[in-house]
This record gives sequence, structure tokens and C-alpha cells, in this order.
Amino acid sequence: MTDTVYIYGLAAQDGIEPVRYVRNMNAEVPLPDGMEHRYLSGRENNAITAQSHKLTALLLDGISAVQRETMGMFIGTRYGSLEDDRIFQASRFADGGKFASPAAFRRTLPSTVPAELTIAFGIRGSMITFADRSTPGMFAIIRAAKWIASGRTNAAIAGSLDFLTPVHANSPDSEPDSEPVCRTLLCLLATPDAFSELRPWAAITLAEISSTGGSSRQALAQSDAADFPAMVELTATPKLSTRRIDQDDGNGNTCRLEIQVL
Amino acid sequence: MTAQQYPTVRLSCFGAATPEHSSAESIFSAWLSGEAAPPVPPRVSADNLWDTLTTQAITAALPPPEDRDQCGLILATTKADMQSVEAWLNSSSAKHGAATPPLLSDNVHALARRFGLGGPQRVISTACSSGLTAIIEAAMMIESHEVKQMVVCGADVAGGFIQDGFHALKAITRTQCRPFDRQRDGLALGSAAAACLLTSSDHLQPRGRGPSIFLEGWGMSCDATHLTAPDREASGLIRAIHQALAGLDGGGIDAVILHGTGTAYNDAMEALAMRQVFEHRPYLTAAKGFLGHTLGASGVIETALAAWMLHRRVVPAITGLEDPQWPELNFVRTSLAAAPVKRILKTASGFGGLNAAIVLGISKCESVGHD
Repeated sequence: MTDTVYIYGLAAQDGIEPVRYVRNMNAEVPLPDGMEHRYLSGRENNAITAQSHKLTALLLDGISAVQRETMGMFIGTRYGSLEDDRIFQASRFADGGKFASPAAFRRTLPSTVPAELTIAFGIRGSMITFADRSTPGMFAIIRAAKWIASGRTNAAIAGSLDFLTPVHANSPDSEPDSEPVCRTLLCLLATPDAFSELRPWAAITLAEISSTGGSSRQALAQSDAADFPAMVELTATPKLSTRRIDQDDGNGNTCRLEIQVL
Repeated sequence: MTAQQYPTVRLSCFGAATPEHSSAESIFSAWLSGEAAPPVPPRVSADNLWDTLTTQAITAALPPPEDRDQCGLILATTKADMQSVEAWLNSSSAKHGAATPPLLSDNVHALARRFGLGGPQRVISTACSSGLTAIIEAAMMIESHEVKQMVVCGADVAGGFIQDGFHALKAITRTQCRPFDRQRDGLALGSAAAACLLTSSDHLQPRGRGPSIFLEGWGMSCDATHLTAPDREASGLIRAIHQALAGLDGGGIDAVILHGTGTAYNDAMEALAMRQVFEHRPYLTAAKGFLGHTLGASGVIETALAAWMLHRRVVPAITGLEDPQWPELNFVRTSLAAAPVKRILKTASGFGGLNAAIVLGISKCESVGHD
């Protein structure tokens, strides 16, 4: 059990926007590769894989393989595997249904991309993938903080991954407003003594998901991953400042996260 | 991970449904009778199979009406109501990127509203370990006093999308699912929903609602080796099992309900794990030769079957197992009546190398009693 959970780093990228990244100090770093010009297509279904790998690599820089062995992974997602569902569905009916793609099918799970990250980075602790419409990233970060506070794990990568493109985005009749979603938000969370060689960036002073009860309520209009811009804004928080984010999911569940930047 | 003390969480009010059965008890009885699963279930024609199965399962697991407004719901699933998703995928909305697609999380909110469950709601989707992961997550929330009661429902309908996928992977048996048999050649698919009510161990259990058992330990791990194939050395599963066994207050594991898909590599991995973890030889059984692989539902429905095993002190045989590839292990080939079973290990593994293990016990049940 621990009373304090630290954020050692936070990294986010929305589509082709610049990476937002903090670790020990506020900093914005340029993309390390040509991702900003990459066409984010569902047919290239590794776009979210490339983005999430890049951000995870930033966060885990300096973390040893032994430390990753016990690290957990808690990922929220709004769209899950819908992009890959669409690709596999198309293959089912191609050429009279003779060529349903095994390569596409094995990606039709919300846990596929997080599992790829565990394989790529040797993360071998607990892993949970949550599906949540409005607050996938905050939800996963708060649950990871709870797990760390309970002593069940001492460190975790937590956040959200989402990828969905309009299939026709490259066709002549594509609509200008049909923007693909390729969005990653990841934090490295840990106990105070998890990484002796690293300084934490912020302390989590409040992490809770509350439910207001009231089962007869009607679902409210729900925003599209409204937690993402709010979490990204944290990267601009000055040192020694406290920031709090409250997000309601429209179904009576409210995520509350408060951090103190160190 | 070091040894830990696990405060016990109670599991009760088990509900389960398949297209052929409408209660956990009837499914358990059918398992004892040795029914075998067909390789694939009939293609779903009824529009409401998802609704039918989840309704039957959750109805049995509901707390008393006065508690429902604060009771949460976790849905464990791989694809949930896939018929709705397929309808969207086949629509012009999907092809033109218009309209909000059906999301996994919509399912849990719809179920919570239907059953008047006003507490926390979430969907957990960690491939075929989803069911056990959901039980673990609910137990975590109860242990940390975030919630007093949680309904956990595991559900999946193996429709055309899923069947075509497993056919494409060449993972489906041509004859019959035969877990741990030398002649095994793949899994059978099944559709199911199962649910149970989790409470703190000192919470009064609803009477007259079937067996009540305790969660005595759990563990989770990632293989971090391959997206679909299990770790040949079983290291991830072994770590999850060791975590689940850590901190148990004496007494060993009497029986194990293995994941037992009937595929070559999964069964080999589990056999290796059993040889390495246990010096004694607990009874080893598996339900997928009878039920088929019910994916996100499997962890919860097999936990419900464990409850009935503990309640009746019976260990059902592995349907389809005739010639065990690992004869040194204690695979159950003929159902055992009056078996001395007080503690069961349940394991699950899924795509992505995700492993989960839970320990279920009945010892404290004897002092509180149930019908």
C-alpha cells in the first residue's frame, strides 16, 4: 500500500499534431520520425501502433527491462478495434467470402494494440483494457493509480488509444471534414521508490471515479473523448501548480483527477 | 510480486445462459452428463440472442431491489452485441464515416439502465481472459471500498464475424473439441452469458440464490511474446498462478479448471504450467469440450461452474478427452462424485498473451450456510 502515486511522464499526440511530452520538466519535443506527414489510413492499420510505440518509447526511456517485468498496462479506448473490425468485415465478403483475413481478424480486439506494446517493450505485469465513450484516458489512469496505491503493482503505463478513419478518406468524393482519429495519451505512473534514477514530474493528489447512482436516468449527450484535450493541457501546467480535471461520462460516472506538478 | 494477504470477496447469485440452457445449475448438470459442444454454434438468426442471454444471466445475479441503485456493473466481453456492429459495418454510415458507430461501452450502460443498476459501470475487454479480469477488477473495487456490490457479467455471441475469424485462423476443430487429448485439433465456439454478484465477505448474502463462494487470491500477467500464440515456456501463466496462490492461508489447490481450448499450443502451455507449479497432482478439468469457447463469457461462466463444483463436491470430466497427451497429470476423465474439493484454481489466457488466475474457496461458506 502507498499513499502517493507519481506521474513520471506524460505523452500525447492527436493525429498529425506535434507530440506533447513532459518528463521531469515541461517540454515539447519534435517528432522523431516522419509521422506528421504519414497518411493515417485504416488500410495501414499500424498507424496507431506506430504512434503508441513512439510515445511509449519516450516514457520508458531509461527504464530497465527488469523494471518493465512487473509493470502493468491500463488502457482505455473509445472506438476499440472498430477500424480493424471494418477491415476484417470487408475481407469476409471479398471474392465470395473465400478470403476472410486471419491477419485482420487477430487485430479485432480492443486489447490488440496494448498487447503489441507489452510485446514490444517487455511489459509483463497486469493488463486491462477498458472501453469508455467519453473519458477513456482518465478512466484508465485513475484505475492504474488505484492499483498502484493498493500495492498490487508498483508501476504502470496508463492512458488511451483510439484509431478510426473514414474508409473513403482517400477517394474522390471524400468529405473535407472526415478527419481520421489517431490519438494516443499515455502516462508512466509509479510509486515514489519505483525508479531511483528518475525524478517524478507530478504527484496524483486525487484520483476517483464516482457514480451518482440514479439508475433511471437517461443517458446524456456524450462528448467524444472529452478527457483528451484536458489531459493534454496538463503538459502546460507550471511547476508547483495544482490542476484538477472533472469529466462526466454522461451516464452518471464522473472521473476526477488532481495533480500537483513538482 | 511478493506474497500478499487477500481479503476475501464473496461471489454468489450465479446466473448463466446459453442457447440451450437458461441457468448455471442446468449448464453444470449438462456438463456432468458429458454433452459435447458442436464445432460452431448455429449461425445466429434471432436478432435478440445478445439480449436474451444477458437478460437471463444478469437477472439471476441482481442484488435485492433496494441495493441496486448503488450496485455497479462490469461487462466482460470481446465483441459484445456484434450484430449491431455488423449492421453498422455493412451500412453506408460506416462506409462514409458518418454517424457515431456502436461502441462497446454503450452495451454496459444499456444493461445497467435495463436492470436499474446505478453504481459504476465499465466494459473490460482483454480477449479471452476478460471474464476473470472483470472479476479481479470488481474485487479490487470492493477491497478498496469504492463500491459495496458489483455485478460482473461476461457475454459473447459467436456469430458469423467471430466464426469466420476463427475459421480463417484454422483454429476450429473439424470433429470435436478435445482438450488435452493427443488427437485434439482445435476449439469449438459457443455463445453464452454468465453473471455473478460480488460483495465483501462480511456482506449478508441473498438467501435461496444457489451457492456462495469466496475469492481467495488472484493474479494477472502478460506473456509479452506473441499476439496470438501463447508463451511456449508458460512463464506468464505460471507468474499469474503464483500470484494467485501467494498469501493463501494454508491448504492447497484441490482442483483446477483450466482454460483448455483444445488447441495445440494453449493446451501444451497449460500442461507445462501445471507440471511446474504443483508438486502434488490436483484434479484437472476443463469445460470447453462441453461448452465450447465462449470467449469473453468463459471466465465468468466457468467460475459459476466452479461454484457448483464446490457446492456439490463433484468434479466433472473433460468432455472429449480420451487419450491424454500428458498422462502424468491428473486429468479428470470420469466425473468424480463426493470429491474432497474445497479450493479451486481457475485460469484463463487470451490473445495478446494475457493471463489471469483466480482461487475460489468454499471454506467460509460452511459457517454462513446457503440453500
